[in-house]
Amino acid sequence: MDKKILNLFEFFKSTLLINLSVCLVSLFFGTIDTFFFVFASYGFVITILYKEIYKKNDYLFYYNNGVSKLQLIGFSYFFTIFLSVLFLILKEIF
Amino acid sequence: MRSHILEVDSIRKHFDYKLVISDVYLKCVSNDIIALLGRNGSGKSTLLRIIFGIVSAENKYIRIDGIVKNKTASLLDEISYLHQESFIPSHLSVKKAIFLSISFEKRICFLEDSLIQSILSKKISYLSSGELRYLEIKLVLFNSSKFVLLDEPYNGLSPIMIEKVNQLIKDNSLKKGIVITDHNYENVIRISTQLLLMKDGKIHAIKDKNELVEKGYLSLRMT
Repeated sequence: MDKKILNLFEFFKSTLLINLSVCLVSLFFGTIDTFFFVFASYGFVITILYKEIYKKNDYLFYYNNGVSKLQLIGFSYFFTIFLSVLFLILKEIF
Repeated sequence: MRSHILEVDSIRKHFDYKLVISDVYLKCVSNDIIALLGRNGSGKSTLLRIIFGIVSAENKYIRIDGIVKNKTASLLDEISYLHQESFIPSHLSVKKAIFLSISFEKRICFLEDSLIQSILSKKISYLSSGELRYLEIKLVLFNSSKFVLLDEPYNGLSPIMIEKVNQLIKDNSLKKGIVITDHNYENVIRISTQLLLMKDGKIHAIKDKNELVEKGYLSLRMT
Protein backbone atom coordinates (compact mmCIF):
# COMPACT_ATOMS: atom_id res chain seq x y z
CA MET A 1 0.00 0.00 0.00
CA ASP A 2 1.11 3.57 -0.60
CA LYS A 3 3.43 4.82 2.15
CA LYS A 4 1.55 8.11 2.47
CA ILE A 5 -1.81 6.39 3.03
CA LEU A 6 -0.27 4.19 5.73
CA ASN A 7 1.10 7.30 7.44
CA LEU A 8 -2.27 9.08 7.21
CA PHE A 9 -4.01 6.07 8.73
CA GLU A 10 -1.42 5.78 11.51
CA PHE A 11 -1.98 9.43 12.44
CA PHE A 12 -5.75 8.89 12.42
CA LYS A 13 -5.32 5.89 14.74
CA SER A 14 -3.28 8.04 17.12
CA THR A 15 -6.17 10.55 17.35
CA LEU A 16 -8.69 7.87 18.30
CA LEU A 17 -7.58 7.17 21.87
CA ILE A 18 -7.74 10.81 22.98
CA ASN A 19 -10.95 11.48 21.04
CA LEU A 20 -12.70 8.43 22.49
CA SER A 21 -11.58 9.39 26.01
CA VAL A 22 -13.19 12.82 25.59
CA CYS A 23 -16.32 11.16 24.19
CA LEU A 24 -16.54 8.75 27.14
CA VAL A 25 -16.49 11.69 29.55
CA SER A 26 -19.26 13.35 27.51
CA LEU A 27 -21.32 10.16 27.78
CA PHE A 28 -21.74 10.82 31.52
CA PHE A 29 -23.52 14.08 30.72
CA GLY A 30 -25.61 13.07 27.71
CA THR A 31 -26.97 10.31 25.53
CA ILE A 32 -25.33 8.08 22.94
CA ASP A 33 -26.10 10.79 20.34
CA THR A 34 -23.98 13.23 22.39
CA PHE A 35 -21.17 10.69 22.18
CA PHE A 36 -21.20 10.73 18.36
CA PHE A 37 -21.64 14.51 18.23
CA VAL A 38 -18.61 15.06 20.49
CA PHE A 39 -16.60 12.43 18.56
CA ALA A 40 -17.01 14.41 15.32
CA SER A 41 -16.61 17.89 16.86
CA TYR A 42 -15.12 18.85 20.27
CA GLY A 43 -13.41 15.50 20.70
CA PHE A 44 -11.51 15.87 17.46
CA VAL A 45 -10.64 19.52 18.11
CA ILE A 46 -9.36 18.68 21.62
CA THR A 47 -7.27 15.83 20.15
CA ILE A 48 -5.62 18.12 17.61
CA LEU A 49 -5.02 20.78 20.30
CA TYR A 50 -3.43 18.12 22.54
CA LYS A 51 -1.15 17.05 19.71
CA GLU A 52 -0.31 20.67 18.91
CA ILE A 53 0.76 21.30 22.51
CA TYR A 54 2.26 18.01 23.69
CA LYS A 55 3.17 16.06 20.54
CA LYS A 56 4.24 18.77 18.14
CA ASN A 57 7.45 17.00 17.12
CA ASP A 58 5.46 13.93 16.01
CA TYR A 59 4.39 15.91 12.93
CA LEU A 60 8.03 15.95 11.77
CA PHE A 61 7.95 12.17 11.47
CA TYR A 62 5.03 12.43 9.03
CA TYR A 63 6.60 15.41 7.19
CA ASN A 64 9.69 13.28 6.61
CA ASN A 65 7.42 10.63 5.12
CA GLY A 66 6.01 13.19 2.69
CA VAL A 67 2.72 14.01 4.45
CA SER A 68 1.78 17.59 5.39
CA LYS A 69 -0.08 18.68 8.52
CA LEU A 70 -3.09 19.73 6.45
CA GLN A 71 -3.28 16.27 4.87
CA LEU A 72 -2.95 14.58 8.28
CA ILE A 73 -5.68 16.63 9.94
CA GLY A 74 -7.92 16.65 6.85
CA PHE A 75 -7.76 12.87 6.38
CA SER A 76 -8.29 12.21 10.09
CA TYR A 77 -11.30 14.51 10.24
CA PHE A 78 -12.79 12.91 7.12
CA PHE A 79 -12.37 9.46 8.67
CA THR A 80 -13.76 10.64 12.02
CA ILE A 81 -16.90 11.99 10.30
CA PHE A 82 -17.17 8.80 8.26
CA LEU A 83 -17.00 6.66 11.42
CA SER A 84 -19.60 8.83 13.24
CA VAL A 85 -22.02 8.63 10.33
CA LEU A 86 -21.44 4.89 10.00
CA PHE A 87 -22.16 4.31 13.68
CA LEU A 88 -25.26 6.54 13.57
CA ILE A 89 -26.60 4.58 10.59
CA LEU A 90 -25.88 1.29 12.35
CA LYS A 91 -27.62 2.61 15.47
CA GLU A 92 -30.72 3.51 13.42
CA ILE A 93 -30.77 0.06 11.78
CA PHE A 94 -30.38 -1.96 14.99
CA MET B 1 22.41 8.51 -11.33
CA ARG B 2 20.84 11.92 -11.89
CA SER B 3 22.29 14.80 -9.92
CA HIS B 4 19.97 17.27 -8.16
CA ILE B 5 20.49 20.88 -7.12
CA LEU B 6 19.00 22.61 -4.09
CA GLU B 7 19.33 26.39 -4.10
CA VAL B 8 18.29 28.54 -1.18
CA ASP B 9 18.24 32.23 -1.92
CA SER B 10 17.45 35.63 -0.34
CA ILE B 11 16.39 34.25 3.04
CA ARG B 12 15.64 36.93 5.61
CA LYS B 13 14.43 36.33 9.13
CA HIS B 14 13.92 38.64 12.11
CA PHE B 15 13.40 37.58 15.73
CA ASP B 16 12.05 40.43 17.87
CA TYR B 17 13.46 43.13 15.57
CA LYS B 18 16.87 41.38 15.46
CA LEU B 19 17.98 40.29 12.00
CA VAL B 20 18.99 36.64 12.46
CA ILE B 21 19.36 35.65 8.81
CA SER B 22 20.15 38.20 6.15
CA ASP B 23 20.03 37.44 2.40
CA VAL B 24 21.51 33.98 2.72
CA TYR B 25 22.41 31.96 -0.38
CA LEU B 26 23.20 28.26 -0.18
CA LYS B 27 23.65 25.71 -2.95
CA CYS B 28 23.72 21.97 -2.37
CA VAL B 29 24.22 19.39 -5.10
CA SER B 30 23.89 15.58 -4.87
CA ASN B 31 27.14 14.13 -3.40
CA ASP B 32 27.75 17.29 -1.36
CA ILE B 33 28.15 17.12 2.40
CA ILE B 34 27.94 20.74 3.46
CA ALA B 35 29.03 21.56 7.00
CA LEU B 36 27.21 24.57 8.37
CA LEU B 37 29.10 25.85 11.40
CA GLY B 38 28.41 28.77 13.67
CA ARG B 39 28.22 29.88 17.27
CA ASN B 40 25.15 29.30 19.44
CA GLY B 41 22.32 31.52 18.27
CA SER B 42 23.93 32.26 14.92
CA GLY B 43 20.84 31.06 13.05
CA LYS B 44 21.98 27.66 11.71
CA SER B 45 19.02 25.68 13.02
CA THR B 46 16.62 28.45 12.05
CA LEU B 47 17.99 28.36 8.51
CA LEU B 48 17.47 24.58 8.26
CA ARG B 49 13.92 24.95 9.62
CA ILE B 50 13.16 27.69 7.11
CA ILE B 51 14.46 25.52 4.25
CA PHE B 52 12.29 22.60 5.42
CA GLY B 53 9.33 24.97 5.79
CA ILE B 54 8.50 24.61 9.47
CA VAL B 55 9.60 28.16 10.31
CA SER B 56 8.39 31.09 8.25
CA ALA B 57 10.69 33.76 6.81
CA GLU B 58 10.00 37.27 5.58
CA ASN B 59 11.63 36.35 2.32
CA LYS B 60 12.77 33.06 0.81
CA TYR B 61 13.34 31.37 -2.53
CA ILE B 62 13.91 27.66 -2.60
CA ARG B 63 14.64 26.01 -5.93
CA ILE B 64 15.08 22.32 -6.60
CA ASP B 65 16.51 21.52 -10.03
CA GLY B 66 15.66 25.10 -11.06
CA ILE B 67 11.97 24.92 -10.02
CA VAL B 68 10.83 27.33 -7.30
CA LYS B 69 9.26 25.44 -4.38
CA ASN B 70 8.32 27.80 -1.58
CA LYS B 71 5.38 25.85 -0.16
CA THR B 72 6.16 23.32 2.58
CA ALA B 73 3.90 20.63 1.07
CA SER B 74 5.81 20.74 -2.23
CA LEU B 75 9.14 20.27 -0.43
CA LEU B 76 8.23 17.26 1.70
CA ASP B 77 9.01 14.73 -1.02
CA GLU B 78 12.32 16.44 -1.87
CA ILE B 79 13.87 17.29 1.49
CA SER B 80 14.02 15.40 4.77
CA TYR B 81 15.00 16.95 8.07
CA LEU B 82 16.55 15.65 11.27
CA HIS B 83 15.27 17.79 14.13
CA GLN B 84 17.44 18.53 17.19
CA GLU B 85 14.88 16.81 19.41
CA SER B 86 13.41 13.34 18.93
CA PHE B 87 10.45 13.22 16.58
CA ILE B 88 9.34 9.61 16.11
CA PRO B 89 5.94 9.18 17.82
CA SER B 90 6.68 7.38 21.09
CA HIS B 91 3.68 5.05 20.82
CA LEU B 92 5.13 3.37 17.70
CA SER B 93 7.33 0.29 17.70
CA VAL B 94 10.72 0.43 15.91
CA LYS B 95 9.38 -2.02 13.32
CA LYS B 96 6.33 0.15 12.64
CA ALA B 97 8.43 3.34 12.36
CA ILE B 98 10.64 1.62 9.76
CA PHE B 99 7.61 0.19 7.94
CA LEU B 100 6.05 3.68 7.70
CA SER B 101 9.26 5.43 6.59
CA ILE B 102 11.26 3.08 4.38
CA SER B 103 10.07 1.79 1.05
CA PHE B 104 9.86 -1.99 0.53
CA GLU B 105 12.87 -2.04 -1.84
CA LYS B 106 15.17 -0.33 0.67
CA ARG B 107 13.93 -2.16 3.75
CA ILE B 108 16.21 -5.21 3.46
CA CYS B 109 19.30 -3.01 3.14
CA PHE B 110 18.06 -0.86 6.05
CA LEU B 111 17.67 -3.89 8.29
CA GLU B 112 21.18 -5.23 7.57
CA ASP B 113 22.53 -3.49 10.64
CA SER B 114 23.32 -5.14 13.98
CA LEU B 115 22.17 -2.11 15.98
CA ILE B 116 18.84 -1.90 14.17
CA GLN B 117 18.38 -5.66 14.59
CA SER B 118 18.98 -5.36 18.34
CA ILE B 119 16.22 -2.76 18.78
CA LEU B 120 13.76 -4.05 16.19
CA SER B 121 11.30 -5.54 18.67
CA LYS B 122 11.35 -2.55 21.04
CA LYS B 123 8.94 0.34 21.34
CA ILE B 124 10.29 3.82 20.55
CA SER B 125 9.63 4.95 24.13
CA TYR B 126 11.95 2.20 25.47
CA LEU B 127 14.98 3.15 23.34
CA SER B 128 18.01 4.86 24.87
CA SER B 129 18.69 8.39 23.58
CA GLY B 130 21.65 7.08 21.51
CA GLU B 131 19.63 4.23 19.96
CA LEU B 132 16.78 6.60 19.15
CA ARG B 133 19.11 9.18 17.62
CA TYR B 134 20.78 6.53 15.46
CA LEU B 135 17.40 5.24 14.27
CA GLU B 136 16.21 8.77 13.45
CA ILE B 137 19.35 9.57 11.46
CA LYS B 138 19.11 6.31 9.52
CA LEU B 139 15.39 6.82 8.76
CA VAL B 140 16.00 10.35 7.52
CA LEU B 141 18.97 9.29 5.38
CA PHE B 142 17.23 6.26 3.87
CA ASN B 143 13.94 7.87 2.84
CA SER B 144 13.28 8.85 -0.75
CA SER B 145 14.20 12.55 -0.51
CA LYS B 146 16.88 14.16 -2.66
CA PHE B 147 18.33 16.31 0.13
CA VAL B 148 18.81 15.80 3.86
CA LEU B 149 19.17 18.49 6.52
CA LEU B 150 20.81 17.18 9.69
CA ASP B 151 20.49 19.41 12.75
CA GLU B 152 22.91 18.30 15.48
CA PRO B 153 23.00 14.60 14.53
CA TYR B 154 25.77 13.72 17.02
CA ASN B 155 23.68 14.71 20.06
CA GLY B 156 23.88 11.94 22.64
CA LEU B 157 25.92 9.55 20.49
CA SER B 158 28.94 7.59 21.75
CA PRO B 159 32.21 7.73 19.69
CA ILE B 160 31.48 4.33 18.09
CA MET B 161 27.99 5.43 17.14
CA ILE B 162 29.44 8.65 15.70
CA GLU B 163 31.69 6.54 13.47
CA LYS B 164 28.68 4.53 12.29
CA VAL B 165 26.71 7.71 11.63
CA ASN B 166 29.61 9.23 9.68
CA GLN B 167 29.73 6.12 7.50
CA LEU B 168 25.95 6.32 6.96
CA ILE B 169 26.24 9.98 5.95
CA LYS B 170 29.12 9.25 3.54
CA ASP B 171 27.29 6.27 1.97
CA ASN B 172 24.08 8.22 1.47
CA SER B 173 25.85 11.27 0.08
CA LEU B 174 26.47 9.21 -3.07
CA LYS B 175 22.77 9.66 -3.88
CA LYS B 176 21.80 12.79 -1.95
CA GLY B 177 22.92 16.26 -1.01
CA ILE B 178 23.43 16.65 2.73
CA VAL B 179 23.62 19.76 4.91
CA ILE B 180 24.86 19.12 8.43
CA THR B 181 25.18 21.38 11.43
CA ASP B 182 26.62 20.34 14.77
CA HIS B 183 28.86 21.72 17.51
CA ASN B 184 31.00 18.58 17.23
CA TYR B 185 33.01 20.51 14.63
CA GLU B 186 35.85 17.98 14.31
CA ASN B 187 33.53 15.26 13.05
CA VAL B 188 31.59 17.67 10.88
CA ILE B 189 34.78 18.98 9.27
CA ARG B 190 36.10 15.44 8.79
CA ILE B 191 33.20 14.23 6.69
CA SER B 192 32.24 17.43 4.90
CA THR B 193 33.09 18.32 1.32
CA GLN B 194 32.34 22.02 1.84
CA LEU B 195 32.61 24.25 4.90
CA LEU B 196 30.29 27.19 5.60
CA LEU B 197 30.21 29.49 8.60
CA MET B 198 27.17 31.44 9.73
CA LYS B 199 28.09 34.72 11.30
CA ASP B 200 26.08 37.91 11.77
CA GLY B 201 23.21 36.37 9.81
CA LYS B 202 25.34 35.70 6.73
CA ILE B 203 27.01 32.62 5.29
CA HIS B 204 30.76 32.68 4.71
CA ALA B 205 32.56 30.04 2.62
CA ILE B 206 35.51 28.61 4.58
CA LYS B 207 38.62 27.19 2.94
CA ASP B 208 40.47 25.79 5.97
CA LYS B 209 40.39 25.50 9.74
CA ASN B 210 42.53 28.63 10.21
CA GLU B 211 39.80 30.72 8.68
CA LEU B 212 37.48 29.48 11.44
CA VAL B 213 39.93 31.02 13.94
CA GLU B 214 40.10 34.28 12.01
CA LYS B 215 36.33 34.51 11.95
CA GLY B 216 36.10 33.82 15.70
CA TYR B 217 34.46 30.38 15.61
CA LEU B 218 37.47 28.51 17.00
CA SER B 219 40.22 29.68 19.34
CA LEU B 220 43.91 29.21 18.45
CA ARG B 221 44.26 26.44 21.07
CA MET B 222 41.58 24.41 19.30
CA THR B 223 43.35 24.10 15.96
